[in-house]
Amino acid sequence: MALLVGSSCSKIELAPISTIATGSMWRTADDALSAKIGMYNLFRTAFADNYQWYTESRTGFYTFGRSFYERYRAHFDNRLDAASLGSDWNDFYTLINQCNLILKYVPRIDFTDAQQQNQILAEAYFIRAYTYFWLVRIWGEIPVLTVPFESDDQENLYPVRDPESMAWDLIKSDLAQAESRYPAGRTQPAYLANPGAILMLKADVYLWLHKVRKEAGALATAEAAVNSVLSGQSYQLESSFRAVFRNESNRENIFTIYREAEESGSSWFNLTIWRDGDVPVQYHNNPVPVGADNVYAFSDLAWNLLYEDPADQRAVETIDSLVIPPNRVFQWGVKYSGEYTSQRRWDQDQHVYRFAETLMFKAEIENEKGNSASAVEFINRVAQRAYGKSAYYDAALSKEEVDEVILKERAKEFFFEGRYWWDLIRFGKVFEKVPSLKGRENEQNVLLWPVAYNTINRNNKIVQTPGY
Amino acid sequence: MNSRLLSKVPRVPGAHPVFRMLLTLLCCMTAYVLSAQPVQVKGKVTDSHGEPLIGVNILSEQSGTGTITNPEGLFELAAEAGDWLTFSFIGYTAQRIQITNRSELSVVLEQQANALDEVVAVGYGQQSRRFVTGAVSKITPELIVDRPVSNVVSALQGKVAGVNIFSQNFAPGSTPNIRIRGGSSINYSNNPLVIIDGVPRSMTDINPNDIESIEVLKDASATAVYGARASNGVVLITTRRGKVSQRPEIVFQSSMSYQQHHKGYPLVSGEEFIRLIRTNAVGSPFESTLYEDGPASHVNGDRSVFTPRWLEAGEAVPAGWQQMTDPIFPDKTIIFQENDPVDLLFKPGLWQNYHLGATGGSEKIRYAGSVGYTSDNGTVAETGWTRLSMASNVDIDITDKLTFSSGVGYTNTRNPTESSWVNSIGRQLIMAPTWRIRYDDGTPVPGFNATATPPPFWRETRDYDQYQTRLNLDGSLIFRPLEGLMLKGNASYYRSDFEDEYFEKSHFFAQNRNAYTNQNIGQTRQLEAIASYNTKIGGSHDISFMAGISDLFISSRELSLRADGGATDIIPTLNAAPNKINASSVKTEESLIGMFGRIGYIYEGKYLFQASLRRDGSSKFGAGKKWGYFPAVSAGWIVSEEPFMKDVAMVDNLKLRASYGFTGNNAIGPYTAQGAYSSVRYARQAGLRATAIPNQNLGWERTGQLDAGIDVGAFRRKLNISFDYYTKITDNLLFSNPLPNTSGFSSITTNIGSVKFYGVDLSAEGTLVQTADFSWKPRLIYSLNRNVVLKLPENDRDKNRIGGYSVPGGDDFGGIAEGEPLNSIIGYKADYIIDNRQQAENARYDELALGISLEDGTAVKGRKFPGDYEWADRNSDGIINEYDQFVLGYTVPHTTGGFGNMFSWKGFALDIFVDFALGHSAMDRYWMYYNSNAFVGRTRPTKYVLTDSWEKEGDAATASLPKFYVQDQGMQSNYYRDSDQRTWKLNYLCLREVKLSYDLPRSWLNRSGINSVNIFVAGNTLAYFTKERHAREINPEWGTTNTYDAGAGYPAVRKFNFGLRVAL
Repeated sequence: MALLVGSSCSKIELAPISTIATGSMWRTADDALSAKIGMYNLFRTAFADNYQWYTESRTGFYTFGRSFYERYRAHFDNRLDAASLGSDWNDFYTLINQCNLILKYVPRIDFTDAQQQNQILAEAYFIRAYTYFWLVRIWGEIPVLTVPFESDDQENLYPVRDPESMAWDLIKSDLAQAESRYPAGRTQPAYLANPGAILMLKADVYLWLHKVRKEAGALATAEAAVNSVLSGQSYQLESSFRAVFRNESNRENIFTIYREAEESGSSWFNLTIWRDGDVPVQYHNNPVPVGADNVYAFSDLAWNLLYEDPADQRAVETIDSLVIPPNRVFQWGVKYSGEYTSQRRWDQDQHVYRFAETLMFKAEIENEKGNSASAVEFINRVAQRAYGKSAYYDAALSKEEVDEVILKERAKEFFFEGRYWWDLIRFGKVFEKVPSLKGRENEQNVLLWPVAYNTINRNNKIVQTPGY
Repeated sequence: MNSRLLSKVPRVPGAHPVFRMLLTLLCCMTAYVLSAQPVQVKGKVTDSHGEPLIGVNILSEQSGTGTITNPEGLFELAAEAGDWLTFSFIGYTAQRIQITNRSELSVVLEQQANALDEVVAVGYGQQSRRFVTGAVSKITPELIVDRPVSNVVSALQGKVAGVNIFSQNFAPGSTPNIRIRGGSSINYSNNPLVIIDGVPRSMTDINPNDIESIEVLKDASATAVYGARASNGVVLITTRRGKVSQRPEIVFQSSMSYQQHHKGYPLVSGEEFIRLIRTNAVGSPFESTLYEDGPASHVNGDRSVFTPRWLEAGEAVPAGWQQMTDPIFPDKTIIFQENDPVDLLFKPGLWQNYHLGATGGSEKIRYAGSVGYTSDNGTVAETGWTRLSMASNVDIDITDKLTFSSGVGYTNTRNPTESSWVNSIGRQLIMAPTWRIRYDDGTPVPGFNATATPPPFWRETRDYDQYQTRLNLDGSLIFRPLEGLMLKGNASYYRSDFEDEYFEKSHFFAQNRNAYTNQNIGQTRQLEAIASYNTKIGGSHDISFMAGISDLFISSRELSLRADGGATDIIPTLNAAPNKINASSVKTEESLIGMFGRIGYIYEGKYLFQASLRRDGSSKFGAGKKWGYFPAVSAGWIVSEEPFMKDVAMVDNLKLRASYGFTGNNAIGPYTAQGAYSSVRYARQAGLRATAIPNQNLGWERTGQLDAGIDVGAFRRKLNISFDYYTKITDNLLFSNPLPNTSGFSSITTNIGSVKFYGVDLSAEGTLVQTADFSWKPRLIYSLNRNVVLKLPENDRDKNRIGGYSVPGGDDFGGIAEGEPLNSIIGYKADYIIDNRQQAENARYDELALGISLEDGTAVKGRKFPGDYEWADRNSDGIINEYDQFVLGYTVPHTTGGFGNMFSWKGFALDIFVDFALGHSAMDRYWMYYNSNAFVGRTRPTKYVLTDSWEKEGDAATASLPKFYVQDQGMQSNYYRDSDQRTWKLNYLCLREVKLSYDLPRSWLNRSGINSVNIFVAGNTLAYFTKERHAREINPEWGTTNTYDAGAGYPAVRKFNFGLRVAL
């Protein structure tokens, strides 16, 4: 009996076996590396599918498919409400919390390789900057959190929505940190953050700051960033558009999101293909891709744009269709449709930044500076790959015409890649080009999003976006 | 061998008991040898006070003749030497006496052990019922054996005051839920602690025929000695142990049931479906679907998922198909197959139970062993469950002071079942009956996607089995060095292995032959040491002490393996699948150390006091919070022993009792307090991410319970009533507190707030009629239980509400809040059905309504039409949105109980038992799927849509359902929202048991060596009577807010049962 009592105290101290107690984490460099991989896992959760709401379904390119999901009408019509898909920012903040944990604890760990420590921190700053960049463009005023949450009596557990300028300041300082800390000479596969990715994000951010927030000096910073990527010579355009998406280690990828069926399961792209039972058997994957459901079809606007020039090799690699007489039409997405080997596998990596965009950014910047001819040169490099013709666009185009060309080429090149909505806002043409937004400039915050009911129910200091 | 006869054997002083026994045997055999001589037997029968007993039945076993005693207790009977006479009298223990050549018999009958003398198991000990001061209910076997149930919990439904038992899923092998006095927690476990023979185990382990008794400990003074885990009550199960007896008792029971399912909603037939959809599709946005493959279209081909099509000119209707006139093109005929999912899925099934048990013993060794086999084919095709159980208990007296006691139990169950109830029952039941099940060549049709396939395809392509093995070993040494002192050391090991195996053959949707297997091993190791001492001082002071310590260690290991890519359908195991997808193992451990003690004092046999204390330490809580103290006190007064009560002849027993004490609850995950980083994967590399926020302040949840009770026995124990009032307040509730979605975590487990559960338990049983041949014994159980949240942590919301909806301008609702009860159901309320254009134009803006007009195709969000529900405006802002929801009901009943009547006449016994539950509701999701023609038009409406829907102006007075729309989810969301229009009040009365049994007369069995044969015929869960019609069409016992899986689960089962029990 005494034996039991005497050793009783230690008997009830049990550490978890298959997880790590928070008090046991952050001891060695391996912990830091594991946390970094965990961060990318959360990055994939936050961005790999969700971007469809913020950048694709609102553009006017999508419409109802065979399976009529009423919920998507809010996106197609740009009449969002707190219950709409995408209104909950939960996944973004889970990712930010992980970044904050890394930024708090990794500096305290001893590394044998000091540069590895810097690299991990640089990657965390990059991811955090990227996430806030999206948050601030989607919701405008957002809680800006830089301290991780580790207990429930922490200050600011119930934050308010901060002014936009706070978010932008953080994005800029995080980018600076990422750029300066990333050790020179080290490189990583495209699905992990690397100097090229940091520079592309910087270009993206500063172009936005210049064109949308009219910030002085931003254009020059963007230009410097883009030039670094161009001069680095690590990237080039693939000669085949198809190879960019079907060959995972192509030279055009700058930053991608890794997908593999066993890890990441399904993809949002399954909403663009077809359900087995809806397609006659002889056409299954021949050519109509099956294995999911047809929720998204594409509007005439999209078809007319993509198939404008029959020579465009991108069209059939983006979307395709089949007509079975007399009147059965099947249309589907191609770009990220994965492959079908006894079942559909969503193994294609998704592109966040690739070299074609570097060229398009350069063109955009040149045009902003007034050098339309130089801009056209860069556009033509992308157009060459697409149409198979050199000097596709005339160097004598005016600035406004070049802007139109850039916007159009970006839409064709980056369809499905989550760029067009931001492009529209950046070029100030969203109310002109999106049919459901015509004439709605005066609706308050129509370009921003409402916050989800869940957000307010859990924290009533958050106020709904005005206008919703 | 009765004591009377034993006393006739010459006493040899100091003779060894065994020697005396042998001598007795000799005498008996001698007597037998002297048989066949006629004897005139005379005698007198008295009770233990010497009073003559009148009307005692005396029966001769050989001749079958009998007589009764006269008013002086005298009798006379002609018999033969060697014959056995049975003396029986209601309320007294019967005796069998063999006739020798002596003709004078003096028989003393002992009064039957009455309810007050029964021994009741309490925590770590036993007490006589007379002296129990806590709230303890005891259930004896006759209330639960010979019922067609696979586990004992089902047989307890409605039979124990304060205990609510309900089933959410009636699949073979499933266990109902138990709530003792409502439980004690909000969103953590409300399950009671179940202890079998001193070891915390699961109730499904044992065959009900192995049970000797069940005690349910309900108040603090009874449960506090278990400290941790006792807040939800304790169920003590004692299995049969051997007793000293001359002959072993061998009992064989065999029982069989025919089972059928309780029917669900009446659904439209194939023809009704086609007519309904076609006529309503015209003019709707979905009219074009009639011209594509679909459940009500006319173009389906031979390989389509659905069958309806136009009959070709000159074609004869194919065999097995039906025909009807096309309602929209009357010159055309539509032919279709009717394949009703209900017929495909449900088949009556057979349930069987066989049990063989032997108990016996000498003074040195006592044993009880049994083997049981139960097999349940269920009511859904291709599901089943079998259980083989073996148990043995052996007690050995090593010396007269030292006893070794052991128990071994083994259970093996096998369960061919489905990996997903939603996919295998739920989604299939709602399908239109016009689907194609098999192609013309007989191969099964795959259906339209991988999770919505017709039953033959699903079942022919998937194999899923579950296995469970449970082993329990325990041993105790009991040492009694002095009178009244007992020392006991006990060690036990319990292991539960759960395995499942899944294999998917190559089929239309997936050719990769997905296969997985999981194995969960749980082990419990317990060591206990207990000392108890009872003594009587000075004749009127009864004192008892008990003290002990307990060390409990629980570990679990889960293994998951998954692979695919096999080349053949014939090998289902993973060795044939070269593509290894997942290999994972997870281990957890927890430890609980307790020290406890109890003191009891009885003065003059009528003033009772008891106090107990337990100190428990649990590994689950944060530093500094691991230990908790759980004291309890109780007192009782046996009023009927007072001199002033002796003259009240009516009342035999009157006891007042009260108790107050504290119990604890630690039913959270083993490492919750420590937070967690869990492993994830990216780009084939291993990563860690923060998944749980730590809480080092996490500690014991404590429940303080006050109980006041009164036990009454009256009319010479023909009426026994027990009544308790109780109130339980739980503090430091273990609560999953939602966190803001900006924090990185969805919730944190913390101790917050307090909640109160209170109510009354009443149990009454009596003997209304008792004659020599006939008796009628009714019994009533009535339990009332309510709850209210008392205190929540301060936040800025009214009543400190957590969760629910934050309405701008205040008046929040939903979630939990101070002053409100738990388990509420939230939804919209319908005011009326809009009948005409005028009303529609004046209707409020409805955020969920798309306002698509069938006339001009325009969509104006928020617009309403005739035939829609007009919803109630909670905050009077003229808009209907999420903030216009109300509390529609509660998922948990406030009143439960049962009423039974036992009739016996000669050898027959009839038991009719009903149980009831009042006050609960359920919101049925499936009502929405059926009636809104959901899943792109493929679901099948209930017949109510045909009779009760609004169709034209003027119908609003009689209609209860809104206008029917094809593919309604895209329209006005009349069905597609949580509302009172699909929330049913589930108050029910269930005819739970009707059992008729017959004991074969002794005389028939005399020479066979068989002691008794009992044949029975019974019905179980025969009918539910409910006020709300739809409550009968779903499971009225639900008790949960999530009906998605519950609705897909097994429906209730009606059983017709017969069997027999033979005792040797």
